[in-house]
Amino acid sequence: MENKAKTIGLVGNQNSGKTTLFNALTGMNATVGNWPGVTIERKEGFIKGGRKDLILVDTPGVYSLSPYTDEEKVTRKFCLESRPDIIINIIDATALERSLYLTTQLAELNTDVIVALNMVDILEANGITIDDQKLEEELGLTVIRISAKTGEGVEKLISTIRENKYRRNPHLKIYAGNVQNEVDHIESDLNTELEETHNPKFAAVKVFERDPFFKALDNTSTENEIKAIEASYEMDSEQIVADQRYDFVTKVKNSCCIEKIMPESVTDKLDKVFLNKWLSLPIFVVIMGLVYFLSVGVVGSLTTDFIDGLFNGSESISVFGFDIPFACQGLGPWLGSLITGGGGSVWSADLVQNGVIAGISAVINFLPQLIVLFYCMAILEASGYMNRIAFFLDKIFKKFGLSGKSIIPFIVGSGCSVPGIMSARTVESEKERNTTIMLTPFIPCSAKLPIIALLSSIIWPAYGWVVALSVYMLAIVVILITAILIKRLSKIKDDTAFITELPAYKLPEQKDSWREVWDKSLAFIKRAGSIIFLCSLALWLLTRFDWAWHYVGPTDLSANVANSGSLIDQSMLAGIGRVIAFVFIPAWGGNYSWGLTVSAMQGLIAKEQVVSSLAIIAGTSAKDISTSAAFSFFNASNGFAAACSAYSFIVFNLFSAPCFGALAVMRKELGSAKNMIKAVSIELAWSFSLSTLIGLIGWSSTGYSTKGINISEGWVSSGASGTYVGIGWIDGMVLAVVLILVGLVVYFHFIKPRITHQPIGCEDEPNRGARLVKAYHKAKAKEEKEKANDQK
Amino acid sequence: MSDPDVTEFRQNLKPGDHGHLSDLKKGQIAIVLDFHNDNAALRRHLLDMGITKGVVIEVKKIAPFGDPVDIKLRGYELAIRHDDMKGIDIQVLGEDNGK
Repeated sequence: MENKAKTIGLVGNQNSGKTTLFNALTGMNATVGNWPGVTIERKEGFIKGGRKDLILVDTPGVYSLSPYTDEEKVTRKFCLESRPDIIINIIDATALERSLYLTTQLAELNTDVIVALNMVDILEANGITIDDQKLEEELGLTVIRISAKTGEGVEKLISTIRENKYRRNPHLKIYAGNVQNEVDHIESDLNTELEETHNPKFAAVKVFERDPFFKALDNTSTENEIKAIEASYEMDSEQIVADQRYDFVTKVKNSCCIEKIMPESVTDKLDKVFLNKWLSLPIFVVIMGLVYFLSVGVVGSLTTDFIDGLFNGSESISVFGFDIPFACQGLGPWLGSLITGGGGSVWSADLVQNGVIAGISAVINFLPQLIVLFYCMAILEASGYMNRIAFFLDKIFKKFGLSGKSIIPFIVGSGCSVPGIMSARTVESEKERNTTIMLTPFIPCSAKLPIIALLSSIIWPAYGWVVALSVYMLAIVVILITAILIKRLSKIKDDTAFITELPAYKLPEQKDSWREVWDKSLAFIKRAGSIIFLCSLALWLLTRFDWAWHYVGPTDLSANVANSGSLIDQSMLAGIGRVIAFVFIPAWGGNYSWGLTVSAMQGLIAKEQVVSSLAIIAGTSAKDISTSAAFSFFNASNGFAAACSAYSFIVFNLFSAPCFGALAVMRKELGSAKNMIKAVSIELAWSFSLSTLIGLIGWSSTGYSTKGINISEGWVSSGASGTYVGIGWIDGMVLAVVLILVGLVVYFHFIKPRITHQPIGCEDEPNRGARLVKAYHKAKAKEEKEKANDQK
Repeated sequence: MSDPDVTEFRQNLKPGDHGHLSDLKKGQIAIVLDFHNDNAALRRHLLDMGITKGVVIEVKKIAPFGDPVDIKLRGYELAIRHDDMKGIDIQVLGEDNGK
């Protein structure tokens, strides 16, 4: 008979080397998905060297099976509900006591546990000797010395599992006499009354601790017995259990482990510099500056124009401000000319060139700098420096209702809000985490850079960077004020805490870092990419047709000018813009401009659309938009008023709702649409009021004269009208391909995650508690009925 | 290597004195006598991290701006906010100013 693959759980503390061991055990064939119901990442892979017989599931790092953060809840659920066949408990041999605490809890499950004693390669340097045979005897569990980093012992671990050569879980009795008796008693109750066959030993301890999810035995004689024990120890039951677990652990450790007193460690020496009162902040600024310079500065500058050229065609690209000739037709124009050359219509060529390819390139464009950013972050994280940053910034951030750990989302968010928001998960307190998520989109992400750069040069041509700098300063001020406002107004009670380990510094493993970069980049393409792709297609539809479905897009794609022959001012989008533009008259400095309004609206889809939309509407290259009729109010001849309108436009785009990709992630991470709408309202309120204020200053300088309103124009401007388009067979084929692409994206992004069966699922724990209570009452009722019958 | 102005709110405890973990200065070692915290989840977490009765804690590092504090216990180091240390009753054992 073909055996079903065994499920192996990998469980351990944070910083115990779990990721490295996971990679060493699985090789490169792991899949990353989400745990059912939560956005927390879940890695799964087959252990190498067999025929897909052993599935290894990585779990978030925990210190205990009493979860504290959302990530930790996942691990507990997995251990309790998914019934893995074996749990590999990875242990940091240099912190034996803390690691074994978790082991005592895992050993209470009805699962066999193998202890992987990790980091044996650095034991000697730390002055520690561990007798692993003795440790195995004391725990009753198989102990294997490994070094995930050097690969030592990993093969032995695999063969032990595959050949079933590990000890079966002996369920050692670790508590002192009366506590152990009480726990055993509860366990037998659970077995007979509740038919609790999952993990009775673990459940018994939880009942003893009065864990809210295991409140099945309230108001019984058990409660009185627990109270008596608590009185005798002068501690509550939770404390007693933790105490006795640690007593057991200490006993085990003392029997098998010898520690020499060591001179000051390298980590302590490094911390004297990195956590020095005067040096810590400058070092942090330099390191972050370097990260930002590398990703956005060097790589961003090198690749952005280049990739844009590859996809959309170019004649020269700008690298570090220099124009370098780079003639390239580009994938989009090439496909476009292929379609028109083959007899297809201009509109279908335009759909491929400016709808599909432009949408894909918008995503790919950011990838190189994100990869560098992810890599730098992985290095900072793995080296242990990230924990130090959070550690020393916590004091400042706490004042603003944030955690020291909020710095990580903010830094990542300067590249892209999507991974930034996702990295807010490590913040423990819900309040601080939500505030962090709400504020991350205010950080000027790399897609907002072109908007800032373009309009800054319009405001003050010679000193554009001064304007750009002032924008960044404004962003910081707005973030701080908003943080304080949220802190004051929030109703969630102040339960903030900051507990983090300060791990020893170590050299990051290149393999692990690159693997993380790969996983994160893939996640970015999947999450943000599919939304941006769909939205750019929707945008194409809105800009290319009028309300009567006449085609108003470009009629000649070969010309250099982006909108040759385009009647974009008659498109549906222009119509929508005309209505909304009234609201923006003060913000745009007294100018009624559907063009600016529509461009800002496109920023909702993706901020990188804003500049290209300005260029398309102006019918010029982006640099020259102020010479066009549509944006004449930006012209320097308008002096101060022009500067105000431009600055107001930057501010609106900077603080308005983030792009759809970020919105989707915010919705998931904040846990409800209500919270997301709240966050977006705060953002819209800021952007609207600030830009209106700036616009008003400009407007007042012109004596409040309003320009550009032409009521008679109505929804659709007069003038040449578009035509209905015909569909030839080539057009039909193009359309079919695009529709199939859309279908695939919709299926994989929205439908598949909902319908796929999760092979290793976890039930919601509250349900489980309720089920226990129900079963208990049923059993009690039956008992009483029988008693009543007996009396009769 | 003392930081006078960041430790000013910490009391000057001598070996044998009773106090709270938050009163300790850098380098001081103390034994935990009892601990209470209104936040059940946080209390549970601190228990899990090994802060139980009788455990010996050393204040290793204090963040550059005075908070949080890095403490060493059970062979590892943990960063914790000054506020969260107030609920931990200790008795000072000694000081580790050598090295």
